[in-house]
Amino acid sequence: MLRFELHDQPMVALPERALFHEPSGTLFVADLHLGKSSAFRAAGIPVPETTPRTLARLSACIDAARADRVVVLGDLIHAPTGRTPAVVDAVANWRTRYAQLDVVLIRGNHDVSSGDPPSAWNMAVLTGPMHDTRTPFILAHTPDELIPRSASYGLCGHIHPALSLAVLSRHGSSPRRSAPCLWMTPCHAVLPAFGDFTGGYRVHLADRDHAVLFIDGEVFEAPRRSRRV
Amino acid sequence: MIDHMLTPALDWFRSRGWTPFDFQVDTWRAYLEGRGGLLHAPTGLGKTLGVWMGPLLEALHDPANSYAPTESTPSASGAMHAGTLRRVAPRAARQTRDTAAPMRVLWITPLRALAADTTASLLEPVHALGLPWTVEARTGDTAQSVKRRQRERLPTALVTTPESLSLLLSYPDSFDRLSTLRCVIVDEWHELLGTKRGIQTELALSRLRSWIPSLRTWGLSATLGNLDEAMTVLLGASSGELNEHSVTPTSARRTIPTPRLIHAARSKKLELHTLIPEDIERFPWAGHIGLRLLPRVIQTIGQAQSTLLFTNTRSQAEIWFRAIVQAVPDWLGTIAIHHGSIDHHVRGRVEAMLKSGTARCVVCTSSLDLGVDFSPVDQVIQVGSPKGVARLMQRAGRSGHRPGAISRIVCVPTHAFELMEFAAARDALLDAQVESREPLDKPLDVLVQHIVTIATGGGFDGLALRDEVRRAYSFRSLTDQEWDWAMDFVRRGGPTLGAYPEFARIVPLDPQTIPAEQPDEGPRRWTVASKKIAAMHRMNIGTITADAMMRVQFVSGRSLGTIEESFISRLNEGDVFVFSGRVLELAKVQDMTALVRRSNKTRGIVPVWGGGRMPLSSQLSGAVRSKLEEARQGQFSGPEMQAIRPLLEIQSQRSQIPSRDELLVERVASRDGEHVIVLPFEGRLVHEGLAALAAYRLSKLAPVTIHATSTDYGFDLHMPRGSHRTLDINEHVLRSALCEDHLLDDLLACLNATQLARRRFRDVARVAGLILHGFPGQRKPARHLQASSEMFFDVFEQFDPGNLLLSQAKREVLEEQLEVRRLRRTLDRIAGLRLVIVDTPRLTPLAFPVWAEVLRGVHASSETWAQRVSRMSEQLEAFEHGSTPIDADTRPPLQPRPKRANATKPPAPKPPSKPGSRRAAI
Repeated sequence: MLRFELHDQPMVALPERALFHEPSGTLFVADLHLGKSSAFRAAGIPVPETTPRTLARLSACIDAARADRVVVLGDLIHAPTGRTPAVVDAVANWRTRYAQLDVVLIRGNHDVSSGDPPSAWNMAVLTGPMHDTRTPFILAHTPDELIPRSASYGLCGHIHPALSLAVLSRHGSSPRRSAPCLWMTPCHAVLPAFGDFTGGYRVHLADRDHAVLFIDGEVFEAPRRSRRV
Repeated sequence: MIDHMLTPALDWFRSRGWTPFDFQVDTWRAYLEGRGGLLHAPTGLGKTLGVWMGPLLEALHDPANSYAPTESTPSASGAMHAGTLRRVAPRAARQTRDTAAPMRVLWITPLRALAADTTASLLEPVHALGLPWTVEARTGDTAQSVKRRQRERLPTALVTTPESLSLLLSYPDSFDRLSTLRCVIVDEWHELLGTKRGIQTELALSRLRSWIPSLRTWGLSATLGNLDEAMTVLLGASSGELNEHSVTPTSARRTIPTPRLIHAARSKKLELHTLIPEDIERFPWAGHIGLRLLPRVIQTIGQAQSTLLFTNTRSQAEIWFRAIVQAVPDWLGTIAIHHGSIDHHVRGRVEAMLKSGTARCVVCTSSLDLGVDFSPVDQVIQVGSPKGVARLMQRAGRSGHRPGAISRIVCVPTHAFELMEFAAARDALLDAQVESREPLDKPLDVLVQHIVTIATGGGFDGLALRDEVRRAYSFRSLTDQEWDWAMDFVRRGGPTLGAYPEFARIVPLDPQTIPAEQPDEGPRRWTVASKKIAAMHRMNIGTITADAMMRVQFVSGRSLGTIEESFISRLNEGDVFVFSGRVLELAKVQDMTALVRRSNKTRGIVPVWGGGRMPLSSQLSGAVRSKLEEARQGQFSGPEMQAIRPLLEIQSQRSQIPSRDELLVERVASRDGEHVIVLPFEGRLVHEGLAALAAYRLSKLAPVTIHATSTDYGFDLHMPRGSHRTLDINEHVLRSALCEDHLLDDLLACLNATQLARRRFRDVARVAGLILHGFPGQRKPARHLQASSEMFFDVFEQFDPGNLLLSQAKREVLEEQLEVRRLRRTLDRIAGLRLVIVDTPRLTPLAFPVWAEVLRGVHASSETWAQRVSRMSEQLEAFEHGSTPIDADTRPPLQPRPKRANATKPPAPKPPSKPGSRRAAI
């Protein structure tokens, strides 16, 4: 866990790639892509099932942070072919375990084609960008939707940000590897993809950007580019 | 009988004023006796006619075949033997598809660019002998209309690639269409051996042999160290030893005469010259660009009609091309560049220039190692060490590409010790010590692909296919468990029932007949799950993996070629780089295309392409060690060794020249700590493994930080001053660091093998059909079905750790990336050597290049990646706040954006008398 301030709000970055806003008890996650492996299998590409594990990680975050509200910043269900009975039932069961929890979904591009979640999942579905009622943030799926409204700080997902890193020294370097990150620009923050079978898109930090890195179950602040020695 | 069958060929040769070589006649005879085999001949010695005439002669005497040459065919006029051949009406000028003889010969070539030229040269004797044969190519480049025609009826001889052959097998009617096949000829087999494309060929051949037990397989190969093995691999497991899993050959197989390995006895004459630097004292001791000799190279090019200038990497080719054009602007238009990333059409134009003799010089890489005759080429220049004897022979053979002509190669050193490598290469050539190509051992990704191919091609019986696969040499030791795993993988994603719902690539052909209570029992026929899966599979057949490539294209639209995406992603708009021989400015990146415009700057960044650096082969490193032994005894034979003599004398003064039974270790104390430079002369990959291993083991002995770097000659273990107590590296310590015990465990531990395997998994994932190149009707898979190989690797590691494709990726890392077999042999050799440890006050000539390699070294560390990033991060924070000076050995730190990748290496370091500014003087 890493505590830090984001636009004067106390935040906690959880190693499972989630962001928690303490004052409102809201847990932010983005890009769950549930049912992605089913969609691949249906197309003839063998991938193991990942949904139960994604849900288990989400539960771990909720328990650790004692969240009473979860906001999904888009891309909950990966594709129409991902809405298999197994996936639908797994989420419905999970939902009964967390019946008292508020779950809000901001529609993402994948949700548009996959359709809104089944009613058994009991989720409020909204279209961004929108002012959150319980936090001072503007919520949307993509950063592009946020740009015109810079008055409040925005939270979004969609691009699965990752930083490519190599530990360099005068005596050689480790192979480059990219790690998911929470990417914070002066006007918005892009959350890493929460889902288990999701990739990363390499981003470059501008001078005033910050990032939080999520590597192998650990979380820490990434050094900025300007610190190159 | 056979002698008399040979007559038409002999007559045709005579009519052209040629005499057949003995090896050609031997091959014809062996073919007519019903044998398969391997013909070993260098390029330009008439090997094509060697294997091609056999099937033609057979057809001439085929009673089912009522065609024969007539007197009206001028080229065959001397070939008439009225008593032996029946006369028929004058043949049609061109055989139409319907009247031509049925499918007889498959000619497999590794290069689809070669298919058109091969077809033309195969047609010549067909016409001359008046055979009613059609010869056509079928590759990825073949027009759709031709492919459709071939779907109706195949030509008599089909020139194709391994990929297209597999594709042919994926159609349900392939058995009927290929049933008249008599012979498969695999051209350039040495190129396919030891690759996954070779495995794909083996499996396809095994399929064909099951259908046609009397099928004859012939291979053509350049010189290899293991020709016997090469032949066994090509002809299948049952031609050699059988193991416990192998099935008894059918009676039909047993009647096939033993295969023959035929050598073209007369090897091609080859001369190796070296451009000796005039001032060896001032010639760099390390480096790899070699432009210092540019004026002499230009002079050499000027003396010949047409030159091929080979470099070892694509970046080096770009640099040399620019340098020559700038030095001699008059040559613009007659000088060209050719490498694997350059646009296919541009390459075609360059090849046409070479064929027509209008090219004065083409700067190229291994992209022109193989291929068609460029008869006008009369000179070959090799910049830098060829790193292997086979490659040198291949390249030298590109000149004088005609029977009897002398091949000449001029070698250009990029640093002083390459003189020694050239001298060693000449010796190795004389002794014919050529590298072997090790066959791969049962790669399951290729097997998985093959199973689906066969399922798509009309289905198969499980047990029969298993036995057939085991008759392919590379799968001779396939266990039942491995076979079952592969079947399970394509059937339901893995061995765990229910783990992969919704997924199936193959399904039982007739599910009703299987009793529900024993769904997994007994032999059963399988077929592809759906038409959609079949179409998708056909589009993804093949084993060639391309890096994520970006098209480079002018804003105006003209394409220049492709470049690794990773290179472009490091550039900003407006940055200038060199590609395809031009200086270009990046305008913008759009989809997977880099739009560029011409820049008026004269220099730019040169991209580095992955995998360019070849290690010194074991044959050549052995020859280098012999050269050193000679030098130690005071023998300096040949101009190269004479030239390098002053350097080796400095070596003797400061330290010594290692003899054959010694391992030289030099210790140098410098301002930045202690260097221990170990010189086994075994090639870079082996040294990388040794260095990482030694650093890891030493750091377990005492709390020291060790940085390891390596070159083709040796490796450097550097213990920085100040950070820790230094460890006294004496003979005992070094021996324990270089022993063979726990080799695999220690290697895996110190090299972060998971990370390496994760990268390696890209190939495996592509071949096994996890990553798709295209979907029916679409260039790329639908967006929601795109995933990177690393994502697959991670998801399997987490959810299906027993997946055998993961273990295969790890095995490939060990065997191919770390050359673990060679590493083991080296450790074994070192165990028998005397260790000579010399403390030298200054770096010696042999140690210097190793020391100069610092920037590329492997950092051995037992920390996890997360720990290291975290530690870096903390140190940076501390540095930022000015509290503690950062440890000199850990900078520059973590960089979210890489430093502009100046892909060229730093300029060749000068001899230590003028130390580089990066380092303090020693």
